[in-house]
Amino acid sequence: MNIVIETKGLSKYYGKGNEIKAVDGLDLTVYEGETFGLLGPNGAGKTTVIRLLNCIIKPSGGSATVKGYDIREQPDDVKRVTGMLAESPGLYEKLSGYEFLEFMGALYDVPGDILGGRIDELLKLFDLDGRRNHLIEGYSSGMKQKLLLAAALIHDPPIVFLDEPTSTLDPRAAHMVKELIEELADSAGKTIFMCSHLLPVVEELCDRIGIINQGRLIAVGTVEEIIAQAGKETLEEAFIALTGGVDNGELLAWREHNVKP
Amino acid sequence: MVGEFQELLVSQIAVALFEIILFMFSAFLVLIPVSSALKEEGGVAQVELMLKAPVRPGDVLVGEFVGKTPIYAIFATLAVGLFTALLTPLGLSYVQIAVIILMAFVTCLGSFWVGTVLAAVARTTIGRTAKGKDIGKALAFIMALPMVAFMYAMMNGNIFSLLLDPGTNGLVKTLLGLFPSSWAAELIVAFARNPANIGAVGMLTVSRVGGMLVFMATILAIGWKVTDRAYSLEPASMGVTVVGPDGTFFKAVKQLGGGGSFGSLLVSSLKD
Repeated sequence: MNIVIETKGLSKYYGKGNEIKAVDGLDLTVYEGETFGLLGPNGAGKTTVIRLLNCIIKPSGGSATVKGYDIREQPDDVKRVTGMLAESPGLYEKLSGYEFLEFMGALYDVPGDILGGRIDELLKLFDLDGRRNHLIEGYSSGMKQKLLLAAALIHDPPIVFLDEPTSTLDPRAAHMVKELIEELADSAGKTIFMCSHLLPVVEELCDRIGIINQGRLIAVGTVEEIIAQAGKETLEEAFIALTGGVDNGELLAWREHNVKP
Repeated sequence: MVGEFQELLVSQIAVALFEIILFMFSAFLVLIPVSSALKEEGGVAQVELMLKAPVRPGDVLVGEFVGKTPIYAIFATLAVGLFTALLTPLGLSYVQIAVIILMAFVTCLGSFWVGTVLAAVARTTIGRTAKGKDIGKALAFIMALPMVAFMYAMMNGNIFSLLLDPGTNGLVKTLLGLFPSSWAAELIVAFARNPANIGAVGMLTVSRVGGMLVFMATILAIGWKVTDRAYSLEPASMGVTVVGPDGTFFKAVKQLGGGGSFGSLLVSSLKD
């Protein structure tokens, strides 16, 4: 299998004296056509990894290649082969869905003669064709997420980064987005790199997962391998064991101290 | 009205008065984009939308500037139109009117460019923190105060009395003379005092127009140079605003509100 993403000691430090290690010595390999999930608690460094691999921010140390392009030396080439759905995506709410995709296509230099046709295809694929001329401000959150996913595909990238693609959606919209992601991986042959803290989403969609905690990659493998590594029975138990959870006995201990009988 | 305006233009307070008016106009064009950038929701997310694409930060800056310029150009056109309408009966030549229009537009566009660059920097630095959003709200409020004070001073004539005092007049001219907006003010008054005779103020015209164009070129270059920093999602600060327990003031407010849920609501609203 071809390697499409490879990181070696990739790091991102912040603060005075680099005391905050958002990503610390990340060694990771992602293969062509697979759906890889980066799982971790809030603040673990997932979004930072995606931003590093998309050349939105610069690494403090280490190296990484995406589809063979160096993220330090060839950021424009990296951006042309990747699509990204950000965790808190910015939308121009006063544009229509069609106009927004047209704008995104222009950002990626999609030739004008094929852009219109591609927008039509994406709007149909994501079931937004009927609302193509409606302002985005009138879209539901599920429709906005679908539009952003369509925007991430406007230049037909071989690699798609998805940062928490379902975390803000209701169950129905989340289900729809999950189906679309599956479709992208299975039918369109895209390599999907997904970040999430939602275990069922990752478990359902990903071929392999990596668990990141406090900036360090602490486990990589299939769901079964991760569960076996942690010596647990479910991914949830393995995740808590690996990332460190709260003892059940401590959860309601405050009541015993504070609540009068 | 034209007669009164002509009298004002040849009076000793004219330069200082026009310097104040144009300075305030320029300051607004700088501060409005900064205040909007700090208050807006989703601005940083839109920056991320751009940065994930192979787009140069400079293109984003120019796009923001050119995209919003027409809105501000409408106000600039109205202001310039009013000035030229009042100056035309004085017998200014076409060249003098053209120079005034040029100076006014360059002043407006220059100020708005500075505002756009500062807004971009503010958005991706302090705008990403709770403190930055508070500064944005405060800025919008503070911005209005000098304008209101100036309008009241104009209405009751205090501003004219103040500027008639040679000390105050000199101080205003010295302080505001450093700003390019004052160069336009000086030219407007000089042309009004020498209608259809640009030769009488030739040196002043060349130095002020030249200075303005050099200033514009400089701020364009500086703005272009800082775009990488202005459109960056590199964290500017990982600091978190930490507050201590309520002091005497908030405790007193809570007690005034009855000390219960209403008091807590009162304190929360006040803090917000």
